[in-house]
Amino acid sequence: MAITFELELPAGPDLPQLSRADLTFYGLDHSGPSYQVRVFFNNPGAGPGTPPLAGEGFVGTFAVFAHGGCFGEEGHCDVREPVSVFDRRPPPPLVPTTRTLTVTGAVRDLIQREMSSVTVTAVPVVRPSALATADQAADVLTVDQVALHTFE
Amino acid sequence: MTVATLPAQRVAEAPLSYRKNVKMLRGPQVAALRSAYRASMGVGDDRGWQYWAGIHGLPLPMYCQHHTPLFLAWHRAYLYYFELTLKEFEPTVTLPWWDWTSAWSHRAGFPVVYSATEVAGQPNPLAGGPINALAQQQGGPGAPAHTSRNPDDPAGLPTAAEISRLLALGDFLDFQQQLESIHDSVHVWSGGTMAEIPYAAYDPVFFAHHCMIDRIWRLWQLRHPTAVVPAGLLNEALPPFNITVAQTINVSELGYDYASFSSRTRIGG
Repeated sequence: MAITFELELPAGPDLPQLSRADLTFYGLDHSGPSYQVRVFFNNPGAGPGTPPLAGEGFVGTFAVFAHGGCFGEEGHCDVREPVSVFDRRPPPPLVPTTRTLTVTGAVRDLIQREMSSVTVTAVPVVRPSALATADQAADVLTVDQVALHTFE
Repeated sequence: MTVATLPAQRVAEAPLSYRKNVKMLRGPQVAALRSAYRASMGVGDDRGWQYWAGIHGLPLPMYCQHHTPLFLAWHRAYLYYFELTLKEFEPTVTLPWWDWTSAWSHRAGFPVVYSATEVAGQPNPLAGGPINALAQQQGGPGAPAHTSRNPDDPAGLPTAAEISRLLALGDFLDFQQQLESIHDSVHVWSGGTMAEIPYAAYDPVFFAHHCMIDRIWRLWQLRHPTAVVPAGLLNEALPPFNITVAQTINVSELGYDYASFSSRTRIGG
């Protein structure tokens, strides 16, 4: 299912020149099917059928190559905590991931139009594959935080 | 009078192998690649294809590193060890790279070397193959018995401009995360078994895709010679391989580098 949220934009007088703007998604799940996320600005009604065109507010896409499910026994894919400070085992493979979408041009444009915030809609799409069906897009996108980072 | 003689110059004992652009491979090079894969697929033990494809995903344990700081180093090690097994079948073989940013990829998608289903009346081993029984069993009902592909519109593959922007990044972790994102998009673009971690490496085109990823890392290293992998990662092991992150940094020490094309001929001897 698509998620929609509001993000504050840099605003005010004498803004420094923007050289790069990143939209960073933290805490993305990758335990299920692989998926794409299409990102739209100021188009809260965007969905899987919305064309990925600038006129629709489309600003970019990213993909998550994922594990396709759990193939072990009960608890196999649980993200375990270290059992002690001496636990040198690598982190479990399903620790949620981060993806960054660089959206410099789109953010620059919003700032020039003196917008103080942007509505972001992230639309997950699952392409049918060996382990996935398109309807799994309904619950594939889980994310902890999204941040906009800009750089001079 | 004593005549001092200089010791004869030594010919390099271990010349580098060059991984080449798959589009630029000559006929005999393609034939050797197919021969190596065919031979590997014919061996059922831990020297053969099914074992090496399974290291990445199923059967458990899944050793691959995705969405972790070890992504690039682990896959460099994987390609290195797998390529050595191919050389045991065909000593001149190297893994080729698939430039999915190229104009021909944006028209046709997968390289024809990997997509032709038959070659000279024989199945093309680079077009895919069976998935081993244990991996199928662990995958449960619906697990694929054979690799498959379902590519999206070729125009949607990553572009050279995206790679140019990526190569300009100065920080290793920033670069790695963005390169992994591009890597993910090619897997998802490929569809079929290539699109899911458990079975992706059973498709030979997986290795051509990952050579491109490894090559981009190599290009980034050449462009940013002072940029370093964080010290805290260097001593990390990359199981099941007996190599650390630090030992993957310099491809020359692993005996390979990247070229577009190479041809060689024997003179004398």
